[in-house]
Amino acid sequence: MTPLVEAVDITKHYDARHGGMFRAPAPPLRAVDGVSLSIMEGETLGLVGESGCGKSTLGRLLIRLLPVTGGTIRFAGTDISGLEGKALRAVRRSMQIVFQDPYGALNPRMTVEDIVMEPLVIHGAARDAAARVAEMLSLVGLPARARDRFPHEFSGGQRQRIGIARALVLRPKFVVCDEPVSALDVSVQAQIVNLLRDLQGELGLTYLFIAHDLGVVKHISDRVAVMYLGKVVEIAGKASLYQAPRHPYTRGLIASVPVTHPAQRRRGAGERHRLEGDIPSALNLPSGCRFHTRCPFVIDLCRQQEPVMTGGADGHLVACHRAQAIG
Amino acid sequence: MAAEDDFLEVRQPPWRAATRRLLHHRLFLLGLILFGMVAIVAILAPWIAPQDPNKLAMRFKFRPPDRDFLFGTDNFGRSLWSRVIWGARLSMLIGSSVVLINAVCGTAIGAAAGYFRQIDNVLMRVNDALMAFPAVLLAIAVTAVLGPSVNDVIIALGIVYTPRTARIVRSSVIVLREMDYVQAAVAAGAGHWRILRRHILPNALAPLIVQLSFLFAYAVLTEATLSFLGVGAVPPTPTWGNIMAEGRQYMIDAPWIIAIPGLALMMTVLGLNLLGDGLRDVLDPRLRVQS
Repeated sequence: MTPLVEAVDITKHYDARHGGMFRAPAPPLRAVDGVSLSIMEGETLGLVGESGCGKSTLGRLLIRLLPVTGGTIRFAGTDISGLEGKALRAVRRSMQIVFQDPYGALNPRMTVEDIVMEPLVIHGAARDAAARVAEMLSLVGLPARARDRFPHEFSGGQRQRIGIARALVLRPKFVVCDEPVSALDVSVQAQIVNLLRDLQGELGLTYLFIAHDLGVVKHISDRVAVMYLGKVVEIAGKASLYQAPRHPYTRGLIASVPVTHPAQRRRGAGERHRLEGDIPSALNLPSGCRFHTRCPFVIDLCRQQEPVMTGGADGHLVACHRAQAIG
Repeated sequence: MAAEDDFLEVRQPPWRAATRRLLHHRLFLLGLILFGMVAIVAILAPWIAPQDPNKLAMRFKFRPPDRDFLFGTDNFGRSLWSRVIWGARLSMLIGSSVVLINAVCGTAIGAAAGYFRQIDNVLMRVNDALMAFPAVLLAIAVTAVLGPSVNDVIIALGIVYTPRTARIVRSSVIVLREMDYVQAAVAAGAGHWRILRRHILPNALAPLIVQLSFLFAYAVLTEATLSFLGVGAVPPTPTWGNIMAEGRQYMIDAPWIIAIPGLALMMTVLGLNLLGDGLRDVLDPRLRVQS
């Protein structure tokens, strides 16, 4: 398999509030701080991490919704990180996004047809646009009469279907799903996840599926990347990651998934890995390994030297000095 | 999941519910009636004014309101009813022109500042400087430069109030440009112009309409102040402000001269403020109760 999307050491820094002309400029906020990963054609890469770890920012960087501060993004082999104007618009056809909030994602003053048709109009495909919109609506499971309705007439799950229709109407290759089910009722979540999976098979899509819920990610992903404070700390195939997590943070995340029966809680080493404390500020990152402030296995080396991603031939990569020792 | 697949059978564009709520808002309706009366009188002035507003008739001077002269006469025997009607025409003309200037310039400046953040600082500091002046003083300064005529008063008031409108539009635009549907349009490859026109401005309209209805009231009030002070439209052109200025000298013996344009002014401003309050209750999403 060839990588469809490749990120090489990409960073996104935001200038923190400069305190006006009388204060020294503050260090930047490092939302994404040197991430390298590749997403294979046709696969779903899950991306998990706590709120504020930069996973949404990473997703938006990959599809050029935000400009990168540094690093390179390659899409189907070409460097897209510096594209502008017409060339950028041309690659946007192939990369789309589905948002978390089904209410904020749809313009309240446009009808469903206008919303779904807009990408076609922008890319000059207005000729059979109405037919393509109708086809798309039926693909996402909305009745044809939804066409001339306004977003406020729909439920959350239905709005998410409209958002998916808009993202897929241009037949993109790569779709960033930015927590597409986090805002939905549990019963509706399963419908939307299954819809996304069906559409992936039908249209040959590649997904970056962002979530803070390991359960949902496990269901849909082929591989999973775990992000902590702007950096990917572990990336592996789904089975490998869930059964043999190597990074203490990943272990903590898995241990904090609620269990369905109290008796299950005692089993395994879950209790040892429960995460404590809060995520440090991205304005003032800890020295060395950025997870050392919360890590139960911390040694001096962790405070001094930042670990690099290492791993075996199985594609299970981890950035932790102690991975071998605690394995 | 049958319930998931059925949506509400209410087929209506978003504005229809707002119109219905407005028509049930009592104070809005009162405002509409007050302002509507002034507006109708202003439009029909040439046909309903019984006398020429500038025709002098010294033998009729200081007539209190009676059957011949509905609102009495002034110190030159001119019909106050005719003069107030023509004054209303001028007030409406100036109010609506200022609102139009504001709607265009304020939206353009506010949208530019809110959307293109690189020029935000420059535009908003100029804005702040203009807003730091008291409205009446700035208007006097502008008319002093341009000269006192109706057109110049309109330009002066346009300059005075545009920064306020720009500020309101800017703050809406800053919020709206971060909305996911705007991001979706960017992801779809939409240009700045399409994003502003299709996604941002239509959604910034509600607070703008509210602001413009209050602005109409301020413009009418400030115009009256200017012509009361003698820097507005030049006499004998009747304006509520200069009728009141002339009537001020005869306040004891002929109180109707100053009272009647004053009441007209109050009616207009009250009507517009009620209209604005009603619009805000209905249109401002922060006050809207989710149904």
